[in-house]
Amino acid sequence: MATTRTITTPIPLVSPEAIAMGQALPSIGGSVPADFNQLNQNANGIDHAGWVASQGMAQNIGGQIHPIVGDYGLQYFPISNETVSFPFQMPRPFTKYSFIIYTRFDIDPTHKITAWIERDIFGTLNQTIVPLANYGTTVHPEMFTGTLSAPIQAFSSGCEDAILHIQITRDPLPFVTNSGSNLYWTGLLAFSLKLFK
Amino acid sequence: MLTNINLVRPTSGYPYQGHNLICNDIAGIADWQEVVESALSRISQGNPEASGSMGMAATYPGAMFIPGSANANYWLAERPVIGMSSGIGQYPVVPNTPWTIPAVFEIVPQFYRFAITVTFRLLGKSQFTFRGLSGYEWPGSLASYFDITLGSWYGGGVQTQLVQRFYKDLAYYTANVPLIHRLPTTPQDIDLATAVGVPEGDFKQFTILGTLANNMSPNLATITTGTISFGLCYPLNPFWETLWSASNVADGTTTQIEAAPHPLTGINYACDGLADFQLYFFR
Repeated sequence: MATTRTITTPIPLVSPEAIAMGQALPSIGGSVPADFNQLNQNANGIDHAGWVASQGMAQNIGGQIHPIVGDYGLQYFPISNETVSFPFQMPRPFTKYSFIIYTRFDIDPTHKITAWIERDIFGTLNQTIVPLANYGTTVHPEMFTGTLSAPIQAFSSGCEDAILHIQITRDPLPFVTNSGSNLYWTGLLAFSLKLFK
Repeated sequence: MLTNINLVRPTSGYPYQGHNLICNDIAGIADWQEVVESALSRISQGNPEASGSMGMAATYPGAMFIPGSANANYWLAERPVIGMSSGIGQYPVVPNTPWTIPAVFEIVPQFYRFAITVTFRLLGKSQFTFRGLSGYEWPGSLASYFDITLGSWYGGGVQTQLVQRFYKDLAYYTANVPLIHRLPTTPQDIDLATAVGVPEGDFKQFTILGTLANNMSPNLATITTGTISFGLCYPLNPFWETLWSASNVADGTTTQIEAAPHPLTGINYACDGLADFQLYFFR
């Protein structure tokens, strides 16, 4: 279960101060003041921290959880493939992604989740960010990080449209009464997509 | 497949938002200050990390497409982020343990301050009833509370931080909820009954500013999965001023909740609990 990632360049806790009159300025060929290095580190750290591109969550109505995609209540519904899609914008500086899902699946091994990013510049290009799998019966978050493939990344100096697709699959079951609890639910409870550099 | 034509929008120089320097330019104090301010403002503005809001949907699949209202029990009903709504589905109306719902985000150690805006409602004693009943009173609703908890997932477990717990009426809660089921007093407790200018049983909106606890990040180089979890609890059941039990499962399809206006829009919503929220992290 992955729930963390390393920030390559942590943002210094001490912020750079604005330069004052009389202070040596950076010049071409000259030495770079320490403040400039710290500023550079700040900017890099901001890039590594990233930017929220898309997120969503389920609802809890009267104690009963209604997942974003999934099953709930007293009946098992015949889910086969259910996909939800969220448009978002992808700025150029970002070349990596961090995607968190909060899920629970029943023990049926055919009950799985996958997610991918779609970009439509030269036809439809897709990149899978969550491998199709059953991520367990316990309620928990799972983090996926990786590099956006070159064709998926935005052009330089651009901020492009893209789509996040999330799909829940399960071999169809007959419409039967769940003898367990009407608080039963499976599937996707929350997600967050972050882009970073 | 995307069908709009605005696939790309240009962005200005990054991260410098003024102009880009080229060879043989001389960077002056103003240039330097603008660069610094660009980075600092980005840190201090922070990120909106999570948000949510209520939805509305038919009380029964396809119900809104039945002409002439074939069944008078079908209508467009509120679906709060967490809470009760008039007559949606079949569920236990009142628990003696909190209902919860989470959202996920990233905790970046250097963005250690947060601001949370929430709009929520805890029902008054005459705002809940069952269809067909009138003049129904539920004094036990005064024992309700709503709380906000942050979680940080690392090391195979989760560290939690209670942000705020709003009691409808703390004195009533203390007097009527048995000690064994009562939550301990915390510095994060707020008693709405003593809050000035807050009408009883209406939606309330608060913005909470806070700082992450030290144990919410293992170190400065690790970004962790964060959760914000909302809890809603009515410890006393709607039939008596007693604890709810598993055998007291009610049919939610007959629940009726008096509408109350949203503080921002004035639109009336017949639900309680959390209507909407926004979470920011900054420094």
